[in-house]
Amino acid sequence: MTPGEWAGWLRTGPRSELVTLVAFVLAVPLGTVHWLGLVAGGALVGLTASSTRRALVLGVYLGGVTVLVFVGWLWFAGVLGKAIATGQLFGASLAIAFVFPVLGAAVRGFG
Amino acid sequence: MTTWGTRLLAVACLLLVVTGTVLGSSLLALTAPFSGTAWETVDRSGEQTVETPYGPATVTYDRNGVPHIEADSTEALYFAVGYTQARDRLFQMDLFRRQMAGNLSIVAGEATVESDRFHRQMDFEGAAETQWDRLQGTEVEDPLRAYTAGVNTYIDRGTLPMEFRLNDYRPTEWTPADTLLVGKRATWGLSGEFSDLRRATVKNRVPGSTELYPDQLDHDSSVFELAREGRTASPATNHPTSERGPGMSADDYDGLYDSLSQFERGQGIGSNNWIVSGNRSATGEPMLANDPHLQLFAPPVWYEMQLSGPEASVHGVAFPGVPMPLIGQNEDVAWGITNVGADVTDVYSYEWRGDQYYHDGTWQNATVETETITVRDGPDETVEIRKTVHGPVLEREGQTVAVSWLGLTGTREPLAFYGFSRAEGMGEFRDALRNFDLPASNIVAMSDDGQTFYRPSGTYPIRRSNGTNVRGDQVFNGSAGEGTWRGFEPYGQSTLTGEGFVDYERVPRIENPQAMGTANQRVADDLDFYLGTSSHFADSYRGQRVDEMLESSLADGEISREEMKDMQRDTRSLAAEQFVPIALDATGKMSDDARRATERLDGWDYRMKKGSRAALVYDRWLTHYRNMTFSDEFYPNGLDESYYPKLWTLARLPADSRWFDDRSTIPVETRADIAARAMNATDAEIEREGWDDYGDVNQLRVNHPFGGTDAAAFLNYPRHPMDGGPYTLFNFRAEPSPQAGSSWRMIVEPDRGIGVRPGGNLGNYWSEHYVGDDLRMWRLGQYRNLWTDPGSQPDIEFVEGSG
Repeated sequence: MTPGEWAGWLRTGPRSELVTLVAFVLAVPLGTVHWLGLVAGGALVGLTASSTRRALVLGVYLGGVTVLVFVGWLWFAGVLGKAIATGQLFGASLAIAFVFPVLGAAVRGFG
Repeated sequence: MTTWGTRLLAVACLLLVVTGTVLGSSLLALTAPFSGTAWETVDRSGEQTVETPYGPATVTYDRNGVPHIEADSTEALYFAVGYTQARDRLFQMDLFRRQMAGNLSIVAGEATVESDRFHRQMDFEGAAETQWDRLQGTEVEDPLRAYTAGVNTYIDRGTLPMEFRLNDYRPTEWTPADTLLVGKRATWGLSGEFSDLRRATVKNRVPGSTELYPDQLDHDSSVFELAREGRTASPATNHPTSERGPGMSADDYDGLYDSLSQFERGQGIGSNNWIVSGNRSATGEPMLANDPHLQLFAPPVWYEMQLSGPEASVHGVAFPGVPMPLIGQNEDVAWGITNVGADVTDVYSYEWRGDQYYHDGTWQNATVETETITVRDGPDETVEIRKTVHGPVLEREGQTVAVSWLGLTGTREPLAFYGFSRAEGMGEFRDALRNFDLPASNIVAMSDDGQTFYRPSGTYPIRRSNGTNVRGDQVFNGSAGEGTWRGFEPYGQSTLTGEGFVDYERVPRIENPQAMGTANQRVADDLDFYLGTSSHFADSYRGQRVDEMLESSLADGEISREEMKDMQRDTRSLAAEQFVPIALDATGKMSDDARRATERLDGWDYRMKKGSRAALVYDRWLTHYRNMTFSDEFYPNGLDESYYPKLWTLARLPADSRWFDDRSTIPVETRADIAARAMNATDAEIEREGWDDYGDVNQLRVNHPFGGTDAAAFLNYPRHPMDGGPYTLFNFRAEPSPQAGSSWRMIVEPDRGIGVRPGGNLGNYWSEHYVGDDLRMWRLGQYRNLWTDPGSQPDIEFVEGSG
């Protein structure tokens, strides 16, 4: 199979949802290592999508999950209240967590 | 399906990422979720083991965030102390040394250039290096080197505090001189002052003002006067103090003083301590209380720790950057400190010819160096550092003086504090006290065998002019050789036990006092050496109140633990007791509303409680009364309220004193006129501002050094209405900023103690001990036990290794 055929095989049919799930599982921890990991994770998830529109939706999902995991991590560490009190700092982190996966997912636009 | 549209979208998103990377890399590195440096210290588990070349040690934090540090060797202990302090307070340590070295602007920008200029010109860094030279070869050298290694190990391997990330800089290597520089910050903050310039300026600008600044305030509440029983050891008393020198300067130093006043000893810097012997305590054992009143910061100015080494176990507080407790208790002795306020700073004027000054009959070359102050986001500044035989030269607005300050020479107080920690009884404690040079302190101590002790400890310079001893409350003519401290070598080693300083045995002391206290008031009415004037000592209100409460407790029998706590919690203002009758006597001249407000003061218990309307009325009235009395003489002459005389002096002015006359009106006003006007203004102000009680104006605002910006305001402590005032034992000064108050409260008996800090012990914002429960307990006058069992599972283990 050519790369294009290989991508098409992954993005369609019954296996596509499983592939997307695997990409999600890999993308979330990727985003905890470095902020570029958020972009890379978004790209990884986006490339499993059948269309660019679908990729952006998956990027939004990943961003949402990242936000939830981040908030959960702070809650588990017992500092969620303090994190919220930081105001701008916390807001910037949430924005980055949500937006960067979407930007990464847009890479699907190249094909 | 790929179209030009989707490709364009992908390119646009990619560009956004690249742009963000290039333009916002710092912000991304700081705030990225999980990996951002702001979140680095959220989870501090995993730092369990640290290699050290000094030997094993353990650190176990108790439930109050106090590290219990244990080691089998002294060096291993202090290595662990260094590592632990850096882990918990590195930002503050770095800030303190930067401030004193004049290196703030490189990280803080142009706002701190004048601070850097002053600190460079004073060359505190050079003084710290001189002190390090003196301490090498003594018993503190090895502990200090081990401490330094511990700090640097943390800097190299630990996670940097959030503040470094927020401001994007890194700390440089720590040195032993940095520790001593932090010590200079404390000693300058307690003893560095330019009251000689202030006095000369007021004398020149305000005719007849000398009466407002008497040599001694007319109270009889000096420390020695109030001390009960005990054996006073003072070889010579009732001798007149030294003469004023012939060259009392009439020059105006307003411009110079205005520039320098922000760097001198702060308002509200004082303390309380008292001691009760076993004969007078309900427990039959001695008790000691101490609460130093210093500036209130987030995190607090003190770092609490418990150290168990081969020689002793000690629990106490130190400034971050200083290895050993400065106030505390070990297994055998406990000690507490208040500031004497002694005059150990003198200023000298000269005839100048370029960089030469006339002194000792010849033109001498001042040493001159030029340094660059690197300013973040701004042009660099240069600073000229000149020194004479007396010390560093300060020049502002065309006025020039040189400064002698005792801390510019190699003083020995680190040896004293190290000795206190290890003292096995009063004898060893008193031996260590001989090294206590600076800042002159009222030191009370007790030992487990029942001894108590008091001494105003410090090294006191003797000024000589024309062959006679003179006082230091003047600007000396350095060209005429006035006011010389014989043997004093700024930035060199002085003979502190020589003829230029008061002999140790001449300083009075009290052995085994039964019950006594100190609160920065005048030490003694008559000493045979010059210690200072009313400008150097606090008003006596707190000192009197300590005495009054001790007296009351003793009248009932013995002093209990609960009564010791009640004293530290006491909010009764003897200043209010003195001033309120003045307001009540003036009701006939007040407006109807003001008269009704004044009625609140009739029958008031003089307690400065946050819920008290009377305390609010009194507090605001006193501010107006003071201003209305002096502002017409001082402000037109360019002098603000920092030049006003002591509160005690205001209270004792006769009813027809000329200072009450408002110079802007034709009639001659009296005290009652001004008291009534002040109450009219108070009533209008309270109405206008909508205040209900004292807590509305007496608000606790403890801020972080970065807390002035919106982005970092979260680092400030929460605000609360507060009890207490500047003249109450439960001490709190809402103004100016930063606020000041009881920075540590401690009550100890043999083998047990209680205490509380105004905030958490750890500087890590994410820690539960950043604010901690201590702030709440401190506000409410509550305590916790000092000696606790932190459990057997260490948080940090130090193991043999390369370090």
